[in-house]
Parts: sequence; structure tokens; C-alpha cells
Amino acid sequence: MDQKTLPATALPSLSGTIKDAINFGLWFLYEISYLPNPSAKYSLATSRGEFLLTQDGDIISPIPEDVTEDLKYLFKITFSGIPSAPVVNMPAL
Amino acid sequence: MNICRNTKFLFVVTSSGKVEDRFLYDAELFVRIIQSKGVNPSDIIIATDAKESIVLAKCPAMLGVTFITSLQLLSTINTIDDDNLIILTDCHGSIRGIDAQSPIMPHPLTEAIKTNPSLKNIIVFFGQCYAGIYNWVDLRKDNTNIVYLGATGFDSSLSYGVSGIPWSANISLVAFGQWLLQPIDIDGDGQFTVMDLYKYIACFTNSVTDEIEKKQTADLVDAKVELKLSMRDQGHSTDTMMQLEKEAIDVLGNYIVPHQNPWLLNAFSAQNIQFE
Repeated sequence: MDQKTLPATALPSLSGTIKDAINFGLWFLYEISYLPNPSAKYSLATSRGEFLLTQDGDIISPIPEDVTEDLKYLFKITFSGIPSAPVVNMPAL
Repeated sequence: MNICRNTKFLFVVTSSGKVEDRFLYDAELFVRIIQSKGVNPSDIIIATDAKESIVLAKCPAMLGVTFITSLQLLSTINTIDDDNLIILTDCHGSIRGIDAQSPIMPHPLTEAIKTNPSLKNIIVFFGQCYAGIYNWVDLRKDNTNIVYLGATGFDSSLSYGVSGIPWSANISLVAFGQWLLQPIDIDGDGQFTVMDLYKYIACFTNSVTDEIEKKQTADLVDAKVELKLSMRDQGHSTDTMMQLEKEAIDVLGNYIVPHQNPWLLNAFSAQNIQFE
């Protein structure tokens, strides 16, 4: 899946902390297409669940149990302008 | 052992709740590595409680592998009819075992392995937290090599960002994959054995921990400040968003760099299992 970087001001309803968790690679934000609910533009996969979000990042609902191929994951999203994930170099042993 | 012949890879990516995407990406990374070494997707099994269509949408490299649920895990292990089995766990773990619909505990897992009539070489890599509860079990079986490798003992396992991997990845699993890509004969016996693999994982993991500790404080300062600010600003959110906010604070606030104590059980078998 391709990656996309959005400015930290995008999805204003998501807090900076949630965006940190996404940038740290602990949680995942996806740009999606979901025909049964066209207002669902993003999906947020947290430690405990996955939620459909609007363009602004407001929660619509958890991902429906019976979701099928209607849900397409288009991009993996991270944010610029806030701390990015801490990374170490791959050890050269 | 030739990983492309008579060998099954079995990934345990299970959960009693939601399977975290980072675990799925860890497994996909490993699937890509073994496929690059020639392993056929039909020799790869993913035991997961995540929905198959969602997993495939996020992890296309898993196309063609076999999916089973955590409840089918032990019976699947018990009936594999290849010579070799490599099991890798990458999910949450606790003192109650590997997190799954029904926790996977050391004794039932070991019995499922030992009572399989076909397997000759079995390697189990425990990447989850508290992997040490799988240590000190009886792995002896005539004419069969069974080795358990643990990423850590009685502590959390380490996931972190490593260059080239854009998520918080299980470091010991990454190390396992790196060794498969470029095995090193660490003990100098002219063979690539599970013992070499174990030593590599241990050195790799400690090297990463050292690097993290060097930069950890500076990298986390901004996040800590952000945490304090968001704790102050919580009043404006909806209930669900506020709950998410609390969970985000927990997940960042509880983020630690645990020291890893990689371990190996059954050293003679580890020396016996050679990778071609």
C-alpha cells in the first residue's frame, strides 16, 4: 500500500496525541474508499478497534463486522509537522 | 533443513480482541523475506483472529497463504505432515499465554508439537511479551529436534522503528528475518544452525536497544509535552473521541524500551538443525 503524508492540520478532529500514535507506527490511519458510506474517508486502526472517519477525522462508527471487499485501503497516512517515529539504523552485525 | 522443501511456516498473529495492524505488518514483512528466499505461499500458514479480507487488503504479500483461526492452531500443528515446521508468534502475550480467542498456553502448544508424528525439526520463535513462560518445558523427543527461541523472558518484548520499516516492528522478528536473508556462522563450525540464529537475534536486539537508549530521551520529549497538553484539552471531544484520546495517551505514555533477554531452549537440537 502506498504511503501519503498529510500536514498535521489535516483531520482537525484527531488530536495531536492520536496523530503521534499514528506517526510512531503504533496506530494506523488509512485513506479509504467505502461505497456503503461515501462520507467515510479514513479508517483509524487503534490497539483495540478500527473506526471509520470523516474527512475531518470525526468518528462515524466502528468498521462494520460484515465489511467485505467494499472497503478499499488506498493509502497509509502519516503526518508532517509533528514528531515522527523514532527510528534506529538496522544493526550491521 | 531447506526452508523451501518439506517445510511449513506458521505465523501466530492472534488476539482476543483486535489484532493490531503492526503485528500484521511484521508478519507480512517476514512473508516477503521467505518468499524472496523461494518459499511457496502454499507452505505458509497465518493463524489470526483478524478477518482474512481485511488482512489481505492491508497485506497483499499474504495472497495465496493459508489462513486459520487461533482455535484451529493446535490441531493444525498436530497434523502438519512436513519434516520441518517453523512457528513464529507476533502478537500480545502475558503470564496467561499468547493472546488469542482462547489463550495459547505452553503445555498444550508443546504437546501439539510433540505428538505430531511427521515433524523432524521444529523451531518455535516466541516474539510476544512474557515469552519466558514457554521456557523450561520438556522438549525431548527421540529422533526429533525441537527448539524454542524467546525474544525476551518475563518482560515486554520490544517493538520499535528500524530504518526501512515504517512502523513499530518487533525487533527480534526483524532480526530473525535479517539472519535468514544473510545467515552468519557465528560459532565458526561451518554450518548455519539455529544456534547461530539465536546468537544473531540476541546481538541484534541488544544493539537496537543500545541505539534506542542513546536517543530515546530527546525523541520522546515532544511527545510528553503533547501528552500534557492533550490531557488539558480533553473537554471538547465527543465520548468516543475522548476514549480514543485516553487510549492514545495510554499507548504513548506506556511506551517503554524494555531490556530484552533472548533465550533458547534445547541447545543440542539448536546445534543439530542446520539451514541449507
